[in-house]
Amino acid sequence: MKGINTRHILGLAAVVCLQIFVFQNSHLRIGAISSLVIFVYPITLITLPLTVQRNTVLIIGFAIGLLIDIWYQTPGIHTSALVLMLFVRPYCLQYILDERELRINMTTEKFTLTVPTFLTYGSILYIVHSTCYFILDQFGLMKPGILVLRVLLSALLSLLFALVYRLIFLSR
Amino acid sequence: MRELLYFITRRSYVLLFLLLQGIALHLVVRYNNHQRAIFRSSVDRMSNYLKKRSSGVADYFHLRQSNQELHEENALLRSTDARATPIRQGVIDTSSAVPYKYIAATLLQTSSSLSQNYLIMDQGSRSGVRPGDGVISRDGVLGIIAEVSPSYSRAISALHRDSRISAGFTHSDFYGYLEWEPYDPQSLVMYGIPKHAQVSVGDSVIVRNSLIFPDRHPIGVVKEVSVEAGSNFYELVIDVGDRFLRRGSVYIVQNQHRDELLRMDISTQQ
Repeated sequence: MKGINTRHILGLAAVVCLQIFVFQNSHLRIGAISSLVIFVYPITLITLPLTVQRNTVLIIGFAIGLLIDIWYQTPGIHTSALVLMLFVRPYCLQYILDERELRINMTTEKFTLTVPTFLTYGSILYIVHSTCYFILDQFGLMKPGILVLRVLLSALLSLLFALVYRLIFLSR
Repeated sequence: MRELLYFITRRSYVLLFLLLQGIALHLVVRYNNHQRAIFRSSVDRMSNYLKKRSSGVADYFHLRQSNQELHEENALLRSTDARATPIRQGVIDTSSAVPYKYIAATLLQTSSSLSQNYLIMDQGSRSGVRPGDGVISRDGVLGIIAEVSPSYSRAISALHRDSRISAGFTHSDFYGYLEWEPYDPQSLVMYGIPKHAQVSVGDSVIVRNSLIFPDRHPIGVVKEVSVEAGSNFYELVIDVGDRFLRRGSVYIVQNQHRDELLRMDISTQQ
């Protein structure tokens, strides 16, 4: 698979383990909004270099989603949210990056975004992911106010994790 | 043909996405009980609506058939012994005297952050566990066994959208039922208590009229009391503590007269 190296595979394995063994049983609550989920696993996929074919990214995302679903006993929910997020990713990049930044990313084996651009990019993708996840989880739009708050807070917490990951592993 | 291949190659990304998303959504509605139930009821509603719209004549014949079935049912009810109802109530009322078999088990896995939570215990069919048995801890009710393997069993937690447990109070004979509204793992909601009953914060809630759990087994305490405008029933929030967040020792309780009682229940209905 062109563009994917050992470092990416190790990073992917590490965040999947982190999601399964550390974050699965964490019960986060902010105010009246309980059962917030920190989505750790998407970060390595959304920071894969753009030299990796987008079809390949979708298939990897599907496999990772299935793995998470098996552990969480939520068949299809994480998979669907992750596949949607990765599908939106190239369109999101086209929208927020200018031609020069896009060309640099298309030709280098490293995913490089400035912190403000990364925050915009991450916010859009995590909101798409969380929205899909929570709508499928409750399978409807009951209590829309709580749904929106749960989506926003989960996306925010996931984005904070993603930012820390970016600052540690992708800053150089 | 060549144009089709060209189209598929050109649109491979969107087509692959649709394929993978289709598989994922199929998994969601096929293997998640809650989602499957909603999906089926929506499909049923839609097909019923379409049927109604498309064929008034068929509806007319269907009504005639329903009418005939109601007639037959009415005749059957008229010929049934009128004492059936008191006998059935009698079966339920004596459930407190029913002997229960307790199987000690360890709770291996529990979840409370999903809308459908499950418990996994280390005892299975080799120890005599059967689907439909109850799971309790010292502090209260936990769930109902849904699947059994030789060495393990899986229970639907009380923290599950579809769970419903019959419950009442220590100080009065009123009883209702408990449901869970995601996602607070420390609260259940009790319905069915008429508002003329005396209920106050701190009252103890226990199992009542259940064929699964022993009568008077603790559940929790009343945390909030409210009555929705226009309703004649309380909506009570019951504090169940943090027992759903802890693993450890539990009991699988087996009502040894359950099959007999269920058979009696069925035969009474017949």
